Order: sequence, then structure tokens, then C-alpha cells
Amino acid sequence: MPEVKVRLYGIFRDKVGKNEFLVNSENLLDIIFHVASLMGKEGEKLLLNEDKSDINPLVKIVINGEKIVTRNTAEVSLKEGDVIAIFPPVGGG
Amino acid sequence: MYKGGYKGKILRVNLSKNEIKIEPLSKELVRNYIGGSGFAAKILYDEVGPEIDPLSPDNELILATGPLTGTLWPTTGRIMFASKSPLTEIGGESHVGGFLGPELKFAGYDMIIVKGKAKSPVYLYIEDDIVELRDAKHLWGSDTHETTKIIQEENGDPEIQVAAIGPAGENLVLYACIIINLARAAGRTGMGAVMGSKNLKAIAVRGTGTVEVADFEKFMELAEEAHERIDKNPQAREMTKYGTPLLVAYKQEIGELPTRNHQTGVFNEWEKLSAETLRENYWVKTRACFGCSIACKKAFKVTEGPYAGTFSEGPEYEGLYAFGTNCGNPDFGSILKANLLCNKYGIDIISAGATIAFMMELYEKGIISREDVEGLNFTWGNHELIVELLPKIAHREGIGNLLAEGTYRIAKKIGKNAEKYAIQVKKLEMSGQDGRTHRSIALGHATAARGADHLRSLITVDQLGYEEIAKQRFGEDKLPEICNPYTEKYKAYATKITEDVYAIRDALIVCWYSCAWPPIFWIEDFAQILPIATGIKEFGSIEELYKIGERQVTLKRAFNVREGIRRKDDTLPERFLKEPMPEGPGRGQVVNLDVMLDEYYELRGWNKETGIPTKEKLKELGLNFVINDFEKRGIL
Repeated sequence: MPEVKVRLYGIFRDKVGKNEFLVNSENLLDIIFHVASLMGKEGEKLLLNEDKSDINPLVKIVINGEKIVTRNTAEVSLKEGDVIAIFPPVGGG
Repeated sequence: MYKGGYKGKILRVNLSKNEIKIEPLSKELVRNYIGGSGFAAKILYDEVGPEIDPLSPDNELILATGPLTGTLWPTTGRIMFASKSPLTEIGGESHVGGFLGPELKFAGYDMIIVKGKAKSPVYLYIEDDIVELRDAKHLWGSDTHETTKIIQEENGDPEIQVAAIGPAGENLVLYACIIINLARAAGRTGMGAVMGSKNLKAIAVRGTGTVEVADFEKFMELAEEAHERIDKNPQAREMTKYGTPLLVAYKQEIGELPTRNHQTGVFNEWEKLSAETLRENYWVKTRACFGCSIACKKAFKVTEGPYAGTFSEGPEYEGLYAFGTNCGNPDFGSILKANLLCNKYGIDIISAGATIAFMMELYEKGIISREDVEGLNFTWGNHELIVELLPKIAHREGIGNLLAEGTYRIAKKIGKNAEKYAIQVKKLEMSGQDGRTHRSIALGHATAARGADHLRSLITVDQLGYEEIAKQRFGEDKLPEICNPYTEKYKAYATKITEDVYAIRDALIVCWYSCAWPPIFWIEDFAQILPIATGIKEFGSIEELYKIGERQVTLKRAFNVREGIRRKDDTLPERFLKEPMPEGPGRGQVVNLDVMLDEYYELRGWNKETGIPTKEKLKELGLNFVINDFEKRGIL
């Protein structure tokens, strides 16, 4: 399985207690569930959607600084060296 | 006609004649423009013609509130300043939070219109029915913090709300700002210089009244619901914790963190300026404006290094961009210090930072040498220089006298193709976005009424990819292109809609950070609350509100057209049109502006060749007085 880097921001960083970590995974949804498992209930509530099947659409995931993902994470496959940044809802400006 | 929301009174101050008059707020003005920015647009059009120099006594400075200002609806602590801008020489305006707007309503006024020039420095003192021009010779030369404190102390009331200029406004720095509550700035377009040109050091307000609404019980019910929506909104909660610095990391990630005078959208040392770093190492407390449950203002303190002991509210994301990434400077201590100095001297942070960054690029490109700039070292990231330049700018001392003119005029003076590196539109220095990796803002920067502005039409769906919001606001058929930051498709449509809705926001007046971002309130919420606040039934129609918004946008355009603005001025610096983004996720991207402009003019009903609103559109919006004026002047 490819090794990818996960970078966390805002409340996710607080809840997990790490800025970034490496993980082996070939699917984005697996990573989301993994991050959710590292957080308490409040973090999980913010990261996942209501039926806990996907991410909260307000959460932003940016892959390699290019692709912005806000839903259907199960359909996103990963490759070796991908950088996955997970942002809490942020403002424009 | 109106039963609440407004106080019904305008203060007219003529400084040359030492005269103060009260006039009624006209029903027509209320019905056609709602308040705030709408009021100011109409008054400026009627009273400040193209023959008036922005720094002459005949220019007017308008302070306007809206029907929601000072009520318990969230984020209603706003007030706006408008005038013909000395920096851009077209319509200028700047909005600010804090507590001044509500205080003016509590004192019994919706608006103040100041004209003329006092013989010697004065300040305007308002305490309910007492309205006086008072001697301010003893305040001249003081910074905004000292001025605020002295006025509060000499009147024995720390609750007096003060809008003050510092030395920059007195010395007519073209991008001087007005400071409220020590750290809230009516920052852009040089409103502070207009005050300085009038010998008006400050406006001090104390009010003991209230703002009544048409249907109190219903209003309270809706206001409570609105606060609850903020409380439950995850974006709002992140804003409460981190404030706008939260953007630094995200914008680095998407390649839209303007760096070294917008040469790139990637700043390698961004982590030193991230919200998480600031929160962990410098954050001291969180503050809010009147009636706000978001509380996005952060106060920081530096405890180590050359700037140890610096304590100030701010900077916002824009300050981190202006004195940080855009000057190639990762030193937070220096940015906080520069932020504090700008607040004290009354200097616009964005224009000041952009002007210094521009000089740094001229130095890098060999267009200026050390001999040209008093031997100073304009190398990227020289944070000591940034801090050293600000007092020089405020006092127009030495090189500061040149820098006080802003990038457009400096480029003209220097020649040697320096213009190419002046990152400005319509003479206003650009805010911290980049159209190459966030396409809608390219059109926003090019067409906004006050120049390279990010607050009149900033669309975030193609910056942040919020598909749900895009669907709700612009329609599902516009997906996925509307959320794609690298295509021009639908960006003109989104800009037009957003600009019209924001025009209503700026008329109410509510804060950017409640409807634009986080995207909590939108036009349907305004249509719900406005009739309840004012008793004006027509304000309950979304269609009518869109029309009022469009009227405001078009009237501001008409003001600028009368000043000579045409399609040729709705453009961007060459950098965004011809220099591909050199690195990051948007590598290779440039802006195809003309495609968006054509579509935008068509949607707006403006002539595609000239950018002048058509007679038909002006008529449709009830702007017949503009038609008459344009015909008289040979514009139409």
C-alpha cells in the first residue's frame, strides 16, 4: 500500500496532537476514518458527516495542493508520496 | 414610511463655516438605497462632481450607518466612511467594526456629512443633542491612541467612541486611514487623508438612546435564532479561535499566498505565520465588535527577540500577507510591530505593505539602487526596514514622502518600466489574493468600484471548493465549473450575483464575516429581517433587494464613469495576465480577463466596448438622474 503524508490544521491538529504523520493507505476514506479514530467525539463530529459515511462537506481536503475534495472520499484513490492536507472550515479573504 | 431601524436624522457639518445642521433622513433615500454604502453612493453622486479635488474643502466625508446598525442582530457594529478618494481619485469607501456605528445611532443620527475645511484643527464632538466643533490644536501631531485617550479623559468618559487620524492623515499620506477603538481601521482608499485635509482630527461620539425596531418581539426572536446559527456554525467557531490568520495555511496549500510582490503564490516559510503558530506562541486574548458572537479579533504579544514587548490587536490575514509573505518576511514580531505602528500613525496596512513590496521588487530588478533610496536596503525580508519606513511614511520624511504616494504614482515618477511591478488596479494597491489560482477574484479586482478590492465581490466557492454553497447561491447547473479555480466559466455570473448581495450587506450594515464568510446569512435572511426591523414591506422581497443592490453597484459605477473610468481601466497588472504562476498547484496559470469582462458587462447591462452603463439599464434601475447628468456631460 502506498505511503502518504497526512497534514492536519486547526482543531484537527489540536485533537490529534500532531501536525503531520505518515500512513499507509490507498483510499482517502480510510484515512478520514483513521483520523476520526484519533480524535474525541467532538473532533469526530466535525470531521464526519451526519451518518458517518463520509467527510463533513464543510471540511476541506487538499491533495498535493491541487485537488480539493469535499465529498465522495471513498472514490479517491491515493498513490505513493501523496500529501493530504485536512482543513477545518476556513474563511475566505 | 419606516417604523424602526432608522433614527431619521442626518448631521451636516460645514467646517469652513463652523456650521452644524440637522436634516431629516429622506424617505426616498431609505426606500431606494436602504442605508450605509447605498446612502453614501447617492449623496456622493449628487454632491461631489468630477470638478472637485479629493483633498479640497469641497469634497465630502460621509459616515453612514444602516437600519440594522446598533440592533441585536449579529455583527451590526459597523459604520462606513465614504468620500472621493485622494489615492484613486474615484469613489472611495471603507467599512469598519468596533463600537462607533452603534454609538452614533444611540446618539440619534443615521449619518454625518462633513464638508469644508476648518481654519485650525478641530474635532467633532457629539453627545446626543450636543453637537460641537472643538479645538484640537493640542491633539494635532498625536497618534490615534493618544488622541483617543485624551478625548476620553478630557470629557471624563471612557465610553466615548472615537474615530481618529494619526500623523499620516494630517500629512496627507494618500493611503492614510481612520482608526476606531485603537485597532479597527477604516483602512482603504485614503479616508484619513480626507479628514486631514479638512483639519478634522477626530470624531467623538457618545449616545444614550436606543435603536427601535418596527416589530420588537419578532425581531428578537429572529435575532436570537441568528445568533444560534453562528454558535452552531463550525466555521464561525474556528474564526473565534484563530481569526483570519487561519487562511495562511490553506492559501499556501492552494498556491494563493501572494509572495514577494505577487511574484508567486507559495511562501516557503509560511509555517512561521500560520494560525497555529500564532495561537501557540503569541496569542493573548480574543476580542469582538459590538453585537458579535464570532469574535474574530485576536490580540498578540511578542516576548522574545528584537520586537519583545510588542502587544497589539491583529494582524489579520491581510496584514500577514502585506508585511509578511508579500515582503518575503517570515518574522512575526516585525509584522505585529508594523501592524501596531500603522494603527497608531493611521496608515492602511495593505497599501503600505504593497508599496514596500513594490520597492523591494524594483530593487531586486535593479530599477532602483541604494543611492536612490537614502542608502536603505530594500532586500526581500528586511523586516527592520519595514518597521523603519512606517514613521517616515507617516511624516512624509525623506524617502517616506515618495512612499506616501502609493505604487501607481511612484512608478510614474521612477519610470524605467517600474509600472509593470506596481500591483494595483485603479491606483489602489491589491489585497492578498491572486486571480491566477482563484479565478473569480481576478474579475473582482479588475471591476470593483474602489479598485483592487477583495471585499465587494469576493467569491470563495472557487477558492475553497464549497459545492453545497455554490449550489444554493448560484444553482446546481453551474457546477462543477463554478468551483474550479482555473476556469473563467461562470465567474462573471458569480461576481454579479455576489456583488449585488454584498451591496445589501453593506447597506444594512452587517459584517463580511457573517454572510460572505462564514456563509451563514444570505439575501433571503436580509429579506426576512429588514421588514421586521424597518416596517418597510417592500424590503421583504428578494427580487426587490437584488434590484436595490444592483442600483447601488451601478450608481457607484456611474460615479466612476463620470470621473473618466472606462473598460480600459477594468484591468489587472501584467503579472496576472501574462506571467504564468511559477510554482505550486496552480503552476502555469494566467488570467483570461477579457472573456470574463465581456460576460460581466453583458450581465450588468453595461456597454461592452466602453464599460458605461446603458441608458436602458439606468432607466430600469430608476437612475434617471444619472441619464440626465450623463447626457448633459456628453457621456451618453
